[in-house]
Formats: sequence, structure tokens, C-alpha cells
Amino acid sequence: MIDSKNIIEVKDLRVHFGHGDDRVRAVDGISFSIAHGETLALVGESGSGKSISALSLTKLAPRQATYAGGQILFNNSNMLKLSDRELRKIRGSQISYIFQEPMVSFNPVFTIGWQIEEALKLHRKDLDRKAEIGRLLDLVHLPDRLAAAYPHQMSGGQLQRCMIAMALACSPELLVADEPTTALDVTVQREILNLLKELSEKVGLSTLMITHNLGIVSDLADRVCVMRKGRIVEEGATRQVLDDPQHKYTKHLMAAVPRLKPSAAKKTSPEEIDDEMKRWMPR
Amino acid sequence: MWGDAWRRLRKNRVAMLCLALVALFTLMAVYGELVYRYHDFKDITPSYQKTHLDLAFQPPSSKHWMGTDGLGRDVMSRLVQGVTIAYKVGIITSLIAIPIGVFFGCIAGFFGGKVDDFVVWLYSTFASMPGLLFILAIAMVVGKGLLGIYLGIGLTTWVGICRLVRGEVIKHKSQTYVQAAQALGLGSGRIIFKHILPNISHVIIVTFTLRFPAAVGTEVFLSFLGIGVQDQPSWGLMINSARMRLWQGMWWEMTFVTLAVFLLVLAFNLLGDALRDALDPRLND
Amino acid sequence: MFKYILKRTFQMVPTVIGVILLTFVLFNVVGGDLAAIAMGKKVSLQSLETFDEQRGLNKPLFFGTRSKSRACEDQDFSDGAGRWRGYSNAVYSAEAGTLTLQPGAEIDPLAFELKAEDEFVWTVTYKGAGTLAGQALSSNDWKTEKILFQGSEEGGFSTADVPLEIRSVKFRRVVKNPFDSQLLFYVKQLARGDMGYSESQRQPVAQLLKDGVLPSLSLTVPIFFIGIILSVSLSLVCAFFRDTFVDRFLVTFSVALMSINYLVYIVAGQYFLAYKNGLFPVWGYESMRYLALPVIIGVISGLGSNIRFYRTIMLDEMYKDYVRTAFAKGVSKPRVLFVHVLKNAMIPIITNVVIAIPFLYTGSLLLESFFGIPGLGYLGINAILSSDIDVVRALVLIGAMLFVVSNLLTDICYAAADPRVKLK
Ligand SMILES: Nc1ncnc2c1ncn2[C@@H]1O[C@H](COP(=O)(O)OP(=O)(O)OP(=O)(O)O)[C@@H](O)[C@H]1O
Ligand SMILES: [Mg+2]
Repeated sequence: MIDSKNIIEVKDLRVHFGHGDDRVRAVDGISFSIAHGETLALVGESGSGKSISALSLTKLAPRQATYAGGQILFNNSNMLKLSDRELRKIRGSQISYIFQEPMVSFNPVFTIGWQIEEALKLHRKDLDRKAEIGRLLDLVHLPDRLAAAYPHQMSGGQLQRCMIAMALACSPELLVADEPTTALDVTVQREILNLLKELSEKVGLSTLMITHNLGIVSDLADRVCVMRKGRIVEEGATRQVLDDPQHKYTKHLMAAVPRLKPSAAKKTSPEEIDDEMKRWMPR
Repeated sequence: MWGDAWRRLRKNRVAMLCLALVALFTLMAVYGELVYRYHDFKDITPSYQKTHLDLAFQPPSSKHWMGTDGLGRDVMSRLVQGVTIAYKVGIITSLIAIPIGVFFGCIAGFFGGKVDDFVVWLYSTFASMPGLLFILAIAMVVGKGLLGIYLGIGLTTWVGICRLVRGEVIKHKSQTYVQAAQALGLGSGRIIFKHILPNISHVIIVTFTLRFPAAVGTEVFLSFLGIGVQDQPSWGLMINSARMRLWQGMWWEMTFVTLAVFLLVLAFNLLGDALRDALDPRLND
Repeated sequence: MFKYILKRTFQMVPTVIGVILLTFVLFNVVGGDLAAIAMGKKVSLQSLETFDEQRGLNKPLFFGTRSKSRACEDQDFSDGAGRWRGYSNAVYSAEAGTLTLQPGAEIDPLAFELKAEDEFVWTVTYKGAGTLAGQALSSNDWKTEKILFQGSEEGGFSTADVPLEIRSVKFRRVVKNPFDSQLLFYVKQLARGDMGYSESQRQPVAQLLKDGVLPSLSLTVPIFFIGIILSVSLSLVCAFFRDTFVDRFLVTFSVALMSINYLVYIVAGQYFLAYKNGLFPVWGYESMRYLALPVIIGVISGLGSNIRFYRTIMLDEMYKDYVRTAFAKGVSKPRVLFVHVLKNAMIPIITNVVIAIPFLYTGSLLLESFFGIPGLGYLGINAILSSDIDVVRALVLIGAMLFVVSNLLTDICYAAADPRVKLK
């Protein structure tokens, strides 16, 4: 049974690639939960299995993956056991995603409006879709006319806003953001993060935020899970983990970020984080 | 890279089977060539050319495993000679097409600019020619016989190779090892042939394996039409004569020849696919 | 859009020039003596000359002031006497490498009457005395002289009372305009839309082409459309059932189809379906029924490689990130495949399809000749077998031109189908 304060609970999830000797245990028995309205950050080095874990929540992992074990409890059902039909109902309407590369995540031959409308069509019948698209674009501070634009006619930041609009189209309960800002310019990153923060407060969204960026973590997340090689090595409230990392891998991660030392006990203001980020984000 | 590829290939059972088949055909081709050379040298008519009208149209038996044809010649030994011709066509046309394609592809990709423009113009001109008809026209102008076939196929099929190699060279040109070599002041020729070419050799090998069966198919076709091989037992000629006999109920020559063509082409096609997968793991799922 | 089309049309020009040059090089330069290829060696020099004349083959290739004439071949007597052996008053000496015209000889080596309005020139290396083309030759030492004369005049040798020794002769027609070459003739001919004259069918090539188009189209158009529909749908099936038995079966099936020689399809189809079972007529072109079997064979023979090609395209698309986005929105698999993937895959598919258009025109060489469909393929095979140069050249050239045009069409379709292509 799922704890009523949690929107989703992942228990001992195992996702593998390949068979026999070649098997890669991309996700090797992780457990976490997200409470209603909470933002959980998943951090870890590249290849540690963050994306696969996130995609597994609605069984979206690449088709070579096998779900070798565990449970994902959402709305009192185990997502891993649901049929394709039932999963489709949840995808996009209750759990939606924002991906890392907005430039390639949109279908190049359809307009933005068409693609947002598709999500609406699937999950919210009887609704003035045109007006709704306008409202959604407005929500992410974009003019309506961009609905008629093709993905290649827009900038990365604009596309990521559209992605957010599309993700929010059916007022989901859980938003999974897989490195939503990594592919963007530093200044644009700030805008997108602020937008996400603003929206999640406004709508009361639960968020799973995947990132490399400890700045984002300390700014947005309520709790943090640190992943390494398919396992969660440390978990706790953001401040606690960042201020006093227990696991030596977390310390190692922290050390890689020179200015965000655990001694920085006070809550950093967004502007300071901004400065931080400019310092260590590759241009 | 090669060791890895071989390991991957070994695991592919279909590919190993095809490799065995290709090896078998190669042996037959070598044997056929030796027989041909021997008789040519001694200046005697080889048995596969001698007519025995009293032995004509014999169905497969323990003496003639694949029966005899309309002139009483053993179908099996003619079939083996057919392998030789098929191999000659496959190899010689490759020896014409691959060097041309690789050379133009390399210089176009490496030097870019005017050279590239010229090569692109050249291959788009050749690519515009209507395939089979152009081959036939070349064969007609050069004259009947194997030479026409070699030139016809060889001079038309370099285009694909050229395009592939050009693309690969452009890709490699921007890589650090080439830039390092340039910084060291190595000559262009040396960089292309000593450094880039070995790195794209797998493309060439895969192309060879895949164009081989295509060339064989075309030869069968041309010989069938009477434009290719004239007086040697080519598969095309055999199919042509067997076609008439088929209507009279002599099924064996037709069956065995088409089976041989099918197996050879299939083995090379599958092997080419497997080689590509093994050498270029990026393409794998 | 209009500007884009204009620009692409302009970019076609080099390829068109290339195609014209290539056919020219193939037939006029590599081909050598086309008249001999077309008519064989047994016809008279006069008719060979007429053949050359009609096709401009008696002109220099690219540029020149002199051109060979069939009326008299070059002869260097140190290599032999050639045709000159036959004259009774001429004595050939192999050791000296000379031909000696006895006194009082009268030899006209020109094989046929020259055209009166042309000018010709002899280049002769001689010793002794005599006349050539009405002009006196006289020298005690070896001497080379050029002798110019009009085609209407007498062009032969004669001697009075001294012998004339000859070492070598060359006979040339004078080309008044040095640019009046075979290339120019060819280009002019093309500009007029003149396709030449079929020697074996005794008809203008243009007429033959006109007659052949309809039968060819009646065969190739059904093959084309049925083929596309079948192979695209089957490749979609592959993509939908990727990595299952269905997909694997279809892939194996396509490789097998690809490996069967075209000839085998034809022979087997004719034998089993038409002859043995009588499902179809074996040969002829009288009604729709006669087209059924060749169409089936045409479709099947192209199916294997097309399925494989389209399947690769579909699978390539299925790995793209936008597919994951669509699934994450809750789009169903058939919709992802038929709406998202197919629209993207349409772009390479269109390319492949439009590029095949020239095939519609040229027809299918083998199918037509085997089933007796009097189309352009049939014409082509017969022309090749009877060395009918003009027909072959016209077919090659038109095929190539159509290819260039379909390339242009492809680009335009591309621009129309893909919003990313910038029309600038
Ligand atoms: N399609 C696949 N086939 C095989 N293995 C895969 C595939 N996709 C991912 N993996 C494996 O799963 C592991 C986890 O990948 P994942 O994409 O979750 O990493 P990540 O933590 O998101 O990294 P990044 O920060 O670079 O996005 C990788 O080490 C990789 O080896
Ligand atoms: Mg990732």
C-alpha cells in the first residue's frame, strides 16, 4: 500500500540491459518516494542510471531494457504491472516529462501548437483547445503566435518553455524533469528554473528533478537522492545532504563544485546561485 | 577493431554459415580456373565443352550428379566453371570500381573546394545514367565478351563507393588525429593513404562484399542476353539454354544453375550485412 | 518557392552538360567507328560514309581543320600495301617500303565519288614524277607535299614516262569551320530535338520512342504504385512488430527475394504460372490480362530491397527523441508510427520514389522483351542486340535527363514536405 502523503513510491526497482555476461544493471535496486507537492532531486554522475529510473516510472525506458524487479506504486497500482492502455492514460495526464534536449524532443514536421494540442486531445476531451493552447503558452510567457511555428524556427529556451507548456497541458500530478536545463545557455537556464519554481508553487506540482547541477538542487529541491552506478548511495533533506554529506561519493561530488562548500550554511539567494553557475558551467 | 569485429562475427551463426559457403564457392572458383588454365595451356578441349550428343538430356544420376545438358555436357562441371566466371566478374569489376571510387572520394573529401565540386559533378553525371541500359551501352560499344562486362559494370558502380568514401573522409578530416598529422606537416597524400584510408577500410570491405553479388547478378543478366561471355559456360548462358529445355521438361539444368546463383548471391548479401553490423557497432540496436 | 525552383533548375545545368558530354564521349570517342559497329564490316565504304555524314561522324571530334574520309585510308607503305596491292600498274616493295607507280599508270584510289562542294587534301611523300589530283609532282629526292583540290575534280594519280615512288599517303577533307565538330553537331542535333535515325528499323528514333512510351507506361506505372504501397506498408509492419517473429520473418524474406535473380522470376513465372497452370497468357500485348504476370513479377522483384530500405528508414526514425516525447504524452504506438514516424519517414521515402521515375519511362528491359510488350525496354534490348546506336544513345540520354529532372522534383517535394528546408 502507498503511504497517503506520497504521490509515488519506488521500491527496489531494477532495470537491466542485455542478458548473461553482457548484462548492464542500469538501475540496481533503488527505492525512493515523493510526497505531494514535494520536489525530489536525483543527482549523480553521467551513466549512473538517473534517466533510466525516471523513464521507468511510466515504463518508457528503451525497449532493450528489462524491468527485472521492484515496484512503482502510483495511485495504488504498480506501474510495472499495468497494461499498455492503462499506462497511456497515465502518461501525459498524471505523470508528464520534460526532456534534456528541447531541440530534438519535438517532432520536426509538426507545429508546436499541433503537438501541444495532441496532448490535450488525448487526455482532455470537450475543451476549447485553441484557447487552452493560448493559455498554456501564456503560462510559460510565450506569445500565442508561436503555436503556428515549427520547432526549428524557435530557440532552445523557447522550445523548453513549450515543452513545459506541453507537459503541463493536462495538469499532471507529477512532473519528471530530466536535466531540463543542461542543453541551454546559462542565462536561459535561470529563466527556465525560475519558471519551473513559479509553476510548481502555483499548481502545487510534485516534481522529480534530475540534474548534475548542485546549484539547482539547493535552490529547488526539498529532498535529494544521490545515485551512483544504479544505486542510491545517500538520501535526505537538501540542506542536510548538501551541508553535511555522509557518503564519500557525495563528498566527492561536492568537492567537484568548488564554491558550494558545505560550510555555506545560509540559504543561498538565487542571484548568488546565478553567479555560482556562471563560474562553473561550461560556456 | 578487427579483433572485436571478428569476435562479434563469430557469434553470428548465419554469418559463419555464409562465410563457409563463400569459402566453398571460392574453392570452386579456384579449381575451375585451374582446370581452365590447364586445358588452355595444353590446348585441348576441356570435358565441360565436349559435346556428346548421345548423352544429351540425361537426368541427374550417379555419373552426372546434375544431369547433362542439350549437348550432353555435364551440368555440374559447367556449373563450377560458371563460379569461376562469376568470381572473375565480381573481382575484376571491383578492381576497376573500388580504386576509382576510393581515389575520387578521398581527394574530394580531403581537399574540398574546387576538387570536391569537380568530383561531385562527375559522380552526379554518372549517377544520372540509367543503370542497366548504360552498362549495356558500354558493353555494346566496347564489344561483346567479358571485357565489355568488366568495363560496363566497373565504370558505372564506382559512384556509390565514391559517395560513401567521400562522406567518411569528411567525417575523419575534422578528427584530431588528422589535424595533428596536418600540424606535423605531413603531406596530403600521406595523410590520406597512410592515416585516413586504414581507418575507413571497413567501409570498403563491406562495400566489396555487397557489390560482389550485384556484379554477379548483372553478369548473369548480360550473358543471358548474349552480350557477355561468348564461349565459356557462364551461368547466364546456361540459364538461357536451360530455359528452352525447361519447357520440354528438363528441369535439372535450370534448377541447379538458379540454385547456385541464389546461394552465391544470398551468401554474399548476408555476409555483407553481418560484416557491416560487426564492423560498425554503432548501427546495432 | 518559385525562386527556389529557379535556383535548383539553374544548378541542374552542369549535370545536364555532364550527361551530354558523357554520352558523347561514350559513343563518339570511345565508340570509335560507330558505322562499323552499327552496320558491320561488310557494307560498302560509300554507305558507311553516308552513315557518318548523317550523324556528323565525318567531322573532327572536338575541333580541327581536317577530318578523315572513308574514300581513302591512310597508308604508310613501310607497314604494308593494304588496298593498294590490287592496282596492276603499281609495284609494291616490302623491303623499301614503297609503292612504285609504273610509267603510264592511271590510278584512282578514291573508293567513291567525293562531294563536289567539299575541298580535300592529299599529303603524299614521294620521289620521281607524275600528277596527283591534276597537279604535277616532281622531285629527285624524297619529298612531302600537300595537294589541295575540289571534290568535283579528278583526285587520282597518274604518271607519264617516269615512275613515281610513294612512301606514304594521307587523305583528308578540309573542314572550313574548325568548330564544326562532332560535338557541335551532336549538341545542335539535340537542340533541334532530333534523336537520330534507327538503322535497323528504318524509322526516325523519335517515332520509335513515341510508339514505345505507352506500352512501357502501362507496365511500369502499375508496378511503381503497387510496389510503393506494398513495400511501405510491409515496412511499417516491420517497424510495428520490431524484433518479433513477424519482423524477423519479413527481413529474411526480403533478403531471399533480393537474392533471387530477376531472370529466375521471369523464367519461373512464365513456366509455372503461365505455361503449366495457364493462369496468365505467356506472351503478347493484347489486353490487360497480358500485363498481369509481368506486373506481378516486376513488383516482387523490387519488393525485397524496398522493404529493407524503408524499414531502415522507419527504424532510424523510431530512435529519434521526438518518438519518446510522443510516448511520454500518452500517444499510442500505432499513432506514433502512422502519424509521427510516417510523416518524418515520408521525406526519405519521397526521395527514393521520385528518383525511380525515370524507370517508368525506360521501361523494364527484361520484362518487356520476355513478355513481348512493345515498349521502350523491348526497343532498347533489340537496339543493343542489333547495335542500333542512335536508339541506344537516345534511350540512355533521355533516361539520364529524366533522372536529372526527377532529382529536381525530389528537391522540390523535399522542400514542400520538410518545414526545416529553407527555401533560400
Ligand atoms: N539503450 C541502452 N542500451 C544499453 N544500455 C543502456 C541504454 N541506455 C542506457 N544504458 C545504460 O544505462 C546506464 C544508465 O543510463 P542513464 O541514461 O540512466 O544515465 P544518466 O544517469 O541519465 O546519465 P546522464 O547524466 O549522462 O544522462 C548507462 O550506464 C548505460 O550503460
Ligand atoms: Mg540522462
